[in-house]
Amino acid sequence: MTLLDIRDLTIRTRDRTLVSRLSLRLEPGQRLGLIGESGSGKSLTALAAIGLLPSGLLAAGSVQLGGVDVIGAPDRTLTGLRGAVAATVFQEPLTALDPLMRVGRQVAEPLRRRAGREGRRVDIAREVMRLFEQVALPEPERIARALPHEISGGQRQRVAIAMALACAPRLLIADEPTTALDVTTQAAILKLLDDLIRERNMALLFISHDLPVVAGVVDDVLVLRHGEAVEAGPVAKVFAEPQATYTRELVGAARAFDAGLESTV
Amino acid sequence: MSLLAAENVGFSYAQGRAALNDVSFTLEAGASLGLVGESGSGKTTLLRLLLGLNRPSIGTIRFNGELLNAANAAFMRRYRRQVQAVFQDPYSSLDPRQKVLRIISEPLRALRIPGDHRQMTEQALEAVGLDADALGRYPHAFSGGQRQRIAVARAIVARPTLLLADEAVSALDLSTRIRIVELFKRLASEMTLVFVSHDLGVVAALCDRLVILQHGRIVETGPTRTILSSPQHPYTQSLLASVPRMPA
Repeated sequence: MTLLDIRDLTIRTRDRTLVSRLSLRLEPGQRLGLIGESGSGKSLTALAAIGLLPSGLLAAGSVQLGGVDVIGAPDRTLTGLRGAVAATVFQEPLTALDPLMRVGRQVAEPLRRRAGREGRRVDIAREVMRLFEQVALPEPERIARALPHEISGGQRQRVAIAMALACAPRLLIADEPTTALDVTTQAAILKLLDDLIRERNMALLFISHDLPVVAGVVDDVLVLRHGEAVEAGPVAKVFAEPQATYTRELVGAARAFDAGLESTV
Repeated sequence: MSLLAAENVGFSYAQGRAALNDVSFTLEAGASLGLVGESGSGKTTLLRLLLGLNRPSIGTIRFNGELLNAANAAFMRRYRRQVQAVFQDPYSSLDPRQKVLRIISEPLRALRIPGDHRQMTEQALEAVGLDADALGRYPHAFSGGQRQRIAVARAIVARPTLLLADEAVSALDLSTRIRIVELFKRLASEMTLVFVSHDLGVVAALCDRLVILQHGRIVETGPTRTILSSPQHPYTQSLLASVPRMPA
């Protein structure tokens, strides 16, 4: 069954169209990159996929997540989908985490919900430690007791990933998950995401403005500009032979920066 | 004599551990230097010292052989005429209540530079690739890339010797970023440039020398090409290896 099926999605404010007739499909285990610059509508598309569009925005078309219609669905239906079918990791872990709650408790919460949903009894504290180990957090006991501001940016993003994994979702949505991180931290987090997704055979919707980052984690890409899809296909093909003028411009710019790094004496 | 020379510079914020330790480098007139580091490396602290906003706790910074000393008002007047800066965020660095003409010409008034300010402003605007009709508009009418061009025009209107840029293209989209990098490249051929950035790809495109900072210390310095092709320090090596690349 198709995990995420978006057809003719249009997102509007009262006087502006932000996303226009966008369609995309994501099968179980598939990895799709949504590429776009600011204002392209890539984050709105991700929010629409989980029914989290800000109020005041109107969505038309169809969004099916795990076979369930998202647009116009009541909150109860959506709550059942979030976490169980799709979980999201956002750009800034500091705003995604509750600043006043110790991070161990924040990860325990989705674990408890999942256990309730599946009618299982689990040792929550042990599960939190296990997740912290899976996302390679050092000194898991200390970090579980820490508040978000007491750990580094990279560690916070690992906690956010642990929270997403706690739900055991079939689809992970990652919206610029490494953009706020230092480049060496970014490399470690991208490797971690890649490993975790492979081990669990999750599908991935990866949203980013950064072409080389996208190239390293997905199989297929969809290029968005001003809310419209301009090009789609396997990432190797799109980056090797971009067809649309806009994609050619982006790929050319990314390759120009790469070339500067390859200079030899 | 070097245009800029830092010697054994150290700096600590109040009640903190040292943000900079034993930093020394020289910059010749006309050269372009990239200060590269991640968060906590001390690159922004170093830039604040170069701007005269903080004084080194230890060590000296010299400009044309003269001691950079924020308490020396006569020196600072001369220094400000010769050193201008461009910052990261083009949305917060331009006064939204002023028209572009007033924004760009502000250093001319503040530094009491004689001459036809309107004409100098128009020349600066042309140098950054904006049309003259921009002068009568407000910042909000411009995109991020255009705003950064306005910020650059303001920085070069007084014809400084040295341009300091702090992550000046980091907030821009890729297609815009490459154009603003081109603009800085052109400016670098006319003046001395210090470009602070975490982005190796950007400094590689712009600077002929690099200083790599980690935890407030210089771990490696040298010609850009040498550092990129044979990085010596393990940190520089991991920094280079961490930069994501396009597939071949």
